[in-house]
Amino acid sequence: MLFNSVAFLVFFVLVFTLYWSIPNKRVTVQNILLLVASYVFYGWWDWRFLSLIAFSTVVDYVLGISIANAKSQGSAKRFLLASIFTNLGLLAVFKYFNFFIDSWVELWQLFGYDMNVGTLNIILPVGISFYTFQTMSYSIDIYRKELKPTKNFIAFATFVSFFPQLVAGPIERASNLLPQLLTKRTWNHDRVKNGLFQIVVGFFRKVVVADSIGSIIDGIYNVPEINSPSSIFMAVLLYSFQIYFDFSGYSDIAIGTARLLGFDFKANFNLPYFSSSITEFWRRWHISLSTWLRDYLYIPLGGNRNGVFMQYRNLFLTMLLGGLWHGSSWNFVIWGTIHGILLGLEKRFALIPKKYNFFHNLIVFLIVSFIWIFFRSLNLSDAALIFGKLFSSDYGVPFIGDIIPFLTMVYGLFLALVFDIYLFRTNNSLEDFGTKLGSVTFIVLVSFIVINILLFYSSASNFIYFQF
Amino acid sequence: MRKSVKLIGIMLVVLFIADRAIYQLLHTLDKDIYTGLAVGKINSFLKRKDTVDVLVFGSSRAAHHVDLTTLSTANFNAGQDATKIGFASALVATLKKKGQTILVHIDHDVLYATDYDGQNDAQLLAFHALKNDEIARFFDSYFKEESTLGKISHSYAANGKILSIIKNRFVKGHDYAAQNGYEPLVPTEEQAATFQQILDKNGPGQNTLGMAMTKVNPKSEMFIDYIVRKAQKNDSKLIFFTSPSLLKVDMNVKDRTKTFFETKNIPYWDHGDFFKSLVYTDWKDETHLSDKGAKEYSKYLITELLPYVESTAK
Repeated sequence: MLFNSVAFLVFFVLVFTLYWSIPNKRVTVQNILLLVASYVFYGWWDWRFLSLIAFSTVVDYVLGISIANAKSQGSAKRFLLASIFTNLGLLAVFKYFNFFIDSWVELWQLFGYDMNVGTLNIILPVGISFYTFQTMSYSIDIYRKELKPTKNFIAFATFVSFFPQLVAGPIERASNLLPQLLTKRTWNHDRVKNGLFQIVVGFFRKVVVADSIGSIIDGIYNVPEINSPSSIFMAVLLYSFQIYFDFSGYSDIAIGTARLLGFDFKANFNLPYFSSSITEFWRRWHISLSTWLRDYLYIPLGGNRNGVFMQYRNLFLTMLLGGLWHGSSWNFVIWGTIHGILLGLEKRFALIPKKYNFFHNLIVFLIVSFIWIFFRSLNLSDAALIFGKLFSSDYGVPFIGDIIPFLTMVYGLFLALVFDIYLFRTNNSLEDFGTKLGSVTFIVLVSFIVINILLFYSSASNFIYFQF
Repeated sequence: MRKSVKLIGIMLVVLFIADRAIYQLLHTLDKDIYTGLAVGKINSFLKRKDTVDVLVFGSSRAAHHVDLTTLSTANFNAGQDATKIGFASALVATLKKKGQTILVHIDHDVLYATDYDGQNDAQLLAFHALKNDEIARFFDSYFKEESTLGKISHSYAANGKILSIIKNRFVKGHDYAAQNGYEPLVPTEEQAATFQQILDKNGPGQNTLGMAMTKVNPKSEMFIDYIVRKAQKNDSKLIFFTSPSLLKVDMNVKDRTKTFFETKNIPYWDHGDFFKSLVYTDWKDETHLSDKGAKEYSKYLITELLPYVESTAK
């Protein structure tokens, strides 16, 4: 079920009404309702893959308790490894199997051997990368004694499958979400205001800004060979905004929806294009993933504890695997690797010389935009072609197609950027912006955004991060 | 909770008032606009539809391929970019004049599409469903969800129209009402070069419609059946046709399509392979003829059409 669909609107109104109508706001009944709703939400897409979520839930519930009750550190470690292998195993089969087979065959082809190995027709279950990371962190936290396992199966199953963040995050830590699932949720007017405001902003970012940009640049990225360097340059810059507003929009809707149900998620984006360095960019971009990678990969690898060389290696490996997490393709590996190299270089050198500090936001934006090329291109040869064209001399005039969709995109992007600049300048965060508004301002602002969504939305399309 | 419910309630009232006010403004601005595709062409069609004897419906391929200027009888091409058979049938629903000749363009990929649900057509027409009773009735029967949403929020129905209405209100372009609705495509040198580049890369005539075409889409068939019933009711002559394309269609599919229309007792002309050899200047892209190509094709189409038009005239 897509957030930007009528089905979700009806579904959510129903769930919301039932949820808050439960007598005495009984936690167990509310959790059962959320669990059933989450399975309906996911099953709407493909009910067969509900079994995977259920499997992952049962395995990590049992192993979580087993880790905590283990008689020795050794047996706790064995239970932890079982959890990690189960979750990574699911990812390996459903996400990476064909990639590894293809890469193996291509490797041998480089040496002149033709291997006849078949691949399997495997469908990537939506959200698998998100919920497997979420359940893995639960087991690791218990092993580290940072979290006690829950014996409440319903609450744990709801934590794994909670519909606002099930298919594209944020990757919520058990230490944040589980306690909320175990305690009574009460209606809070400020939380409702914040939630509503964040939802409408999220929808605007997604269906007005990101989707409008997509309708213009998809044609350019899909056939770069016939497009001029100026069109490609325009597409490269616009894609940076598309992926940001698409994914942050999704996160906003997820966080806002959870708020309306009485839950507080952690922020997932914090104006990433206002970063002064790549390191800062990763503190502001997809925060739930970057902190996950930091806590469960970079630090266990040694972090910055074993000298400069090891720190570079750890950064490099973390970002390479972070790239691979996004998708089973060399494009993502290269995308992550470049970020890893730049993060390493930043530890040693100032990538942007001090005298150019004035332009640092713009320079970081341009660097990130150029690296996105690997992320968005259909394959490596397209990425190479795009880079080649960007550095050619014959730029020409960009192709903008029909003027009305282009103007719609410019209008939406302008409003979204003005709002982001306002948040940055005033040091506000979207997560608690709603409460800062008086009732009249709130009503006027929300009405303005909703009317703009209705008038300018671009036809529904999937969220980019659904594929991961 | 009461405070929140009050806030949401007031917000819904404000939204409702703003929504209706914006619609009224757009509706006022939209009157007498006959330029631009979003509203101008449909307004032109609604103005001209009952004064002409020949009407053409269909997608951009109909709009850009059929120029009946040289036909002796009054005609109008209501073809519209980015639309499919659902859109055409909604326009057909508005016809009142008896004995017209109706040409409906249909492509194989629409007829056999597995994912066509008419949703895009409905979105494009939702604004007009608020203004035109026949389209509204058609909407109530065939696009129930869009119809309900459009009634709840008129701004939703007006999605994608506002900039077009403002632009065409103040900057007059191609006046469809004053002409016959045909939209010539004249490729720029750059577009011609790009097209040639694509064909050279893929090899002319090598591209095929990349989909299995075994079963007629039930929605497409439903809309076709509606058009057939409406034509019978108006004593109109109905012809379905497929215009030239460089995308190759399997012969079995062509035969299946022919049989499909034969069983419905409707004439079907498949002109997909009209151009026997490839002349780059006849095309803008693989599915759209240039003005030059369209003129040549229309000349032929008129010769096929004449017996129908003449029999109607008698």
